[in-house]
Amino acid sequence: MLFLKLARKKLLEALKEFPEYSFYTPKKEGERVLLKETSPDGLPEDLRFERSTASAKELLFPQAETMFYFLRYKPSQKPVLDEGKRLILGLRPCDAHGIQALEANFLKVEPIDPYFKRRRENTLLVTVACLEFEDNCFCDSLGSGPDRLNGADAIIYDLNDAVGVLSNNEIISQRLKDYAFQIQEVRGEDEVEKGSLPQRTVEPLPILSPEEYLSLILEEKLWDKISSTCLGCASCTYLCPTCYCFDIQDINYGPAGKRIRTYDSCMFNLYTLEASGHNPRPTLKERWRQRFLHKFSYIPYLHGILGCTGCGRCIEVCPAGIDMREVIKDVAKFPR
Amino acid sequence: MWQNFPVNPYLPIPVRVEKVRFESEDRSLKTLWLSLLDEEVRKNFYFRPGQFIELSVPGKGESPFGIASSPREELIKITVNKTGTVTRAIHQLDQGDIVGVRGPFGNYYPIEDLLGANLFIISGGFAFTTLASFTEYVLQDWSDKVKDIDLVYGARTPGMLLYKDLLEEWKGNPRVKLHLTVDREYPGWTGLVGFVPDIVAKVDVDPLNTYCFICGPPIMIRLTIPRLIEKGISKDRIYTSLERRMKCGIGKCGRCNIGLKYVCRDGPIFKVSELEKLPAEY
Repeated sequence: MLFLKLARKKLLEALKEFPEYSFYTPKKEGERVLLKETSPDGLPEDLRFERSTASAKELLFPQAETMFYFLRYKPSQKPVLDEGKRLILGLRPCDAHGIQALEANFLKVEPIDPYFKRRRENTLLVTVACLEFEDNCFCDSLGSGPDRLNGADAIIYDLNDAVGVLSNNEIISQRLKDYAFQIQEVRGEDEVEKGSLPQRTVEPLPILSPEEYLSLILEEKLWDKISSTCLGCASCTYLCPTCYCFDIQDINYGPAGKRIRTYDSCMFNLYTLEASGHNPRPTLKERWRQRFLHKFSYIPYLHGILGCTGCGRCIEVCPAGIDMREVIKDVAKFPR
Repeated sequence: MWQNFPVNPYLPIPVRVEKVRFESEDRSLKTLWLSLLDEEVRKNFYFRPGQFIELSVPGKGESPFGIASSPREELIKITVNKTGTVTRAIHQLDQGDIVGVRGPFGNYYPIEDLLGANLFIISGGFAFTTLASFTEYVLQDWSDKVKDIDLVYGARTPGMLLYKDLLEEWKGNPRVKLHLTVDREYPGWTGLVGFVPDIVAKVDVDPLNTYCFICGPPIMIRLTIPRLIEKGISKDRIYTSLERRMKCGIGKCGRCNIGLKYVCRDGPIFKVSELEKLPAEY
């Protein structure tokens, strides 16, 4: 790992060292903040980016993507892999955490997902340590923080008169080197200067161990209570940075067609409904158990990272006002 | 196994429909025999009873089906119930049509554990597919290594029983005790009458040396398990094959997740002792 200090201007200048990459940053458009392709010339020098409305997962795992084209009457298939190189700048540390959870599913368990793999290989993920907290975010309550690398390729710290770049990626390290006035080899993120980080009183949330959560799996009453106000709209799962469940469908164009995959959600009735009419998760009670335990028990148990990043998007979007922080507290209060 | 797809586990491999047959009197069930087009792939294609494939009809989609043929056979046999878009398209397929297959996926019945044991195979309706593969394979390859086989198989009516040719064959095999049953009395039916769990209760087995394999509708599975436990059979020796709506087959798309398990990857076959720790989402 390399820690590089650069003058602010130099950082923006250094971006021309990435000519084969398209740049993506969060950009405000009306009410929403979108992750959009942008020119490296127009980047704000203060590196203030708003948090994107949807999570960064859409750049690596789009809401809909083509898997392959086919001819309907011939055994011919053409897989489609996204070859574009992208440098995503201005994400939050929680976005990087979310992508770690996707990596766990798509890359860490055989067989490897070729679509996600190619996109991840072609993407440089550069986060900026948060300059301020959002209204509903709570990564610090989960034991993480707005300054964590979280598996990003690099994180930028605001050092007032300069910027610090902690790089965990050979391409970034090599290409920024000549622009830095100070270069330091470091072993971890705790060794580096992080400048002034946003301060607030941390309200720790009672996060249980994956095994403790697992022991609640058969507590019908708990899941009944937690799901009682949910409308089942699934907005939370579409915006959640760690939700990766998908559906596979075919689209026809006369004699040809394509197979696509799209986001799907465990909050939907149709998600698990079987052809026979049997539904193993017939009510929101079972679906909430799935959603909650997947994030707080299964992902941590299987992959060693929490499936909730504390980004707060689910809290902001929920039409029923369900607050994940309250759910976490309710679950912890339940007698075990 | 997905090792069949070194590059992209989502790409179906082409198969030709070699033969089709209506399997049930109401024509809701159709059996297809498939052969892999590519010789190289065919040579390396290998599965174990209990595994499933995803059958793909381009333009319609893909659905999971348990493999009903024995690994000894040259063609892959599946039986399809006509219910939705994909299965309706499969029912329209005929000899010579080219479709796609991914797989085999999932785990399989633990044949190696069964040396010297009795087998109690229990099935209902059209879920009989992988257990038919299993029974046939045991009789072909493991006949001298296992003791006796009790097979309880039930359907609504005699005309809804699958694979009558195989059942007829097994009737003549002294190693197999067949307990065929239908839900209600039926003209001309001389076999048992009653639901599978009740028939299971009446079958005499050696509780200490019997492995049980259940595959059927969820309600049948749920009612049958306690009947086996009553007999004194250990929960470690009762296996059931779960059915879930599965899309990717490789533990990525998320929908067949139960607790820490993915039915498509860690299952579909589970011991009852494993299932007890999971919510009854089956």
